[in-house]
Amino acid sequence: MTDVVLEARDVHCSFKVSTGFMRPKRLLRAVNGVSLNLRAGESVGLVGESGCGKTTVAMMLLGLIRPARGEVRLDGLPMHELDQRDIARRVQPIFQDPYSSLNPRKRIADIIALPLRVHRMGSTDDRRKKVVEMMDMVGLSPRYADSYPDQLSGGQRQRVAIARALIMRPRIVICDEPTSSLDVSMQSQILNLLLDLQRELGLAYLLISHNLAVVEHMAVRAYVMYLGRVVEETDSEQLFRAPAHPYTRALLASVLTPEPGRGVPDTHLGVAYANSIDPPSGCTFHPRCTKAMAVCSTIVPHPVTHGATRHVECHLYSEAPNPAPV
Amino acid sequence: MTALLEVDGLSVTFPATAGDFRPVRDVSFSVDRGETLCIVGESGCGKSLTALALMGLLPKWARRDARRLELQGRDLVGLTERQLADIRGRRMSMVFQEPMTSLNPAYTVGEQLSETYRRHYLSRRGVARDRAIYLLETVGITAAASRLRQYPHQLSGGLRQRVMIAMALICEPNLIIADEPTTALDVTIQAQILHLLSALQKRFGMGMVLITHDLGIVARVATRVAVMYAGQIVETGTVDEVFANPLHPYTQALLRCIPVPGRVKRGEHLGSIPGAVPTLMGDLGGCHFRNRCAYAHAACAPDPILMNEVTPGRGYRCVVPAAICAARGHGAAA
Repeated sequence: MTDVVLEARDVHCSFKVSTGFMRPKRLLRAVNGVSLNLRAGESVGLVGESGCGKTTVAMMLLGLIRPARGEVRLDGLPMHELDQRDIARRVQPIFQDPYSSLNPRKRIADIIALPLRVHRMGSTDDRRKKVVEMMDMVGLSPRYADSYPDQLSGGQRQRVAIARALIMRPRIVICDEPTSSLDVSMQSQILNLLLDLQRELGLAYLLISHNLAVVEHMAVRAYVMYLGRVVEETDSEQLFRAPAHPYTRALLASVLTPEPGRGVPDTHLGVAYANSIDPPSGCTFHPRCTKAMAVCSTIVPHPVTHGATRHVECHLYSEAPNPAPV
Repeated sequence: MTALLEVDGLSVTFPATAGDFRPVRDVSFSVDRGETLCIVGESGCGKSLTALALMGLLPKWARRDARRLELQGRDLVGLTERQLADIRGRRMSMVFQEPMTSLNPAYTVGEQLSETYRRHYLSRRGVARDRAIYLLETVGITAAASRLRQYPHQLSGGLRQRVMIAMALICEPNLIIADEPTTALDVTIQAQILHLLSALQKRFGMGMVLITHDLGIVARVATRVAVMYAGQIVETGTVDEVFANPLHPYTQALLRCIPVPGRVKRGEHLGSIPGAVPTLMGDLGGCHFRNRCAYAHAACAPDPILMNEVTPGRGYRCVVPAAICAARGHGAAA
């Protein structure tokens, strides 16, 4: 696999969080040993509930947070040795909320051109030309160039965010919930646009989303995260046909496809919510798991390969659970 | 037997100097006991304001007009604030969208839960407390007694929404209005909350109006569906009718927009609706959807389009005959 453009190798990241006035700070392990890779021109999904560390992984892949352990490699080079501008030329983000990710006091053309200015590329005229070209590419009429973000609809703002991300012609785009704040009709337009741009520019996408239907539609592979770990990695098709990890199954059951008569499934996940400050012992999913065994509460499951599923961390699939350091 | 909730010709108007802003226009529907009516539409279509208008919770400067607005045969128009307060919470209650902002951060969960009960039943603190514990257990919260002393910020989003639901149910209302009850939640929690709401609705035999933008939720929860676009209901019917045989071009387009695993091929273009929702100022004249409709023609304007009733409870707001609409919607059907 030589065409891996972005790779995380066993990255860890933790934050010190306040637990209250005059109380000691505690360690929140946001990401606890995640490995993933992205090949040129490929779309990969990253799914999981809020608080599972998806966004922290994205921050590390963008070079905005340095992993405490492990390393991120961009085009085969360790990311911490690269200049931030160099990283920005190759990897760009699109954020969830186009209402808060655009500066309300700048004009649309200036927002899109900012990366060019930061990288001192071209003259003012060149930049203007590039901006107009980019706006055309993302389907924004050039008459919005001098508008402010609050004059645009949510879908148009997300187009601005996409234009800003692509103006440096990166090869990798990290989309953090790109459509979850949009209406259904806007969501389909943005997804169509992302697909077109990928074909045209050969982009690789890391698609972070909690909407599994969107991930299935866009990505060829998907990573499922739970409490800072990747618990399953597999092809999208396999993921939807035969999910291996009980958490993936619950996630999949929660996807409400528009099929009348099927009712709302009971996911049997219980009300025990995961807490990353105080993660459960053994397999972190065991308090919510319907298939939990005695071993699950004490021993951390090893990643194994199961049939077509490349990576699953669950005792159901380990042949003989051997003790791992907790 | 009369319906639980009967709404006929409900409109909401915000008077403004530049012309009236009319986000809800002539909306009519009814809800029976034990039935879930889903009002589905995109942001700005007036679905939330419809809910607030039913509850009498509109801002003071808004005007609410209705030919008929009845709950259990009792007229809701022209009630005083005090009479309305006797109904709200006891006969009908509401679950709001954002459990983060709709609970009072300065009061404990227990105080907020028992407040409604004590207001309506004038009961003693202890009785209300027991009732609150019972309701928290009903909505699946463990260690309910200790939760009563907690403040909303100490609870996760899913738990807060459960508290909101418990609060809405505490007086066993006949009608519950849920405005996007799961939008702010994770998918797994969303499934749990919706599962809970449907189960409780069956158990208490309540009528429910569920407002959402998510067609997946509609398909799984609704008995009947009302599709709203630009302040109007454009299509009504049972959930099976609307999903298997969508008649209005807007409903058809909306159904084509969502990726469905196994039905839409990966990487293929999804359907989209070009253009934008019209501004709801003054009189729009004709069909509200005509500037985005693939089938728009001369007959779509300037006269207002009336609801065509195919069978009782099944209607659509379009000038084209039902048979042609049905044929067009063939590819969109679920």
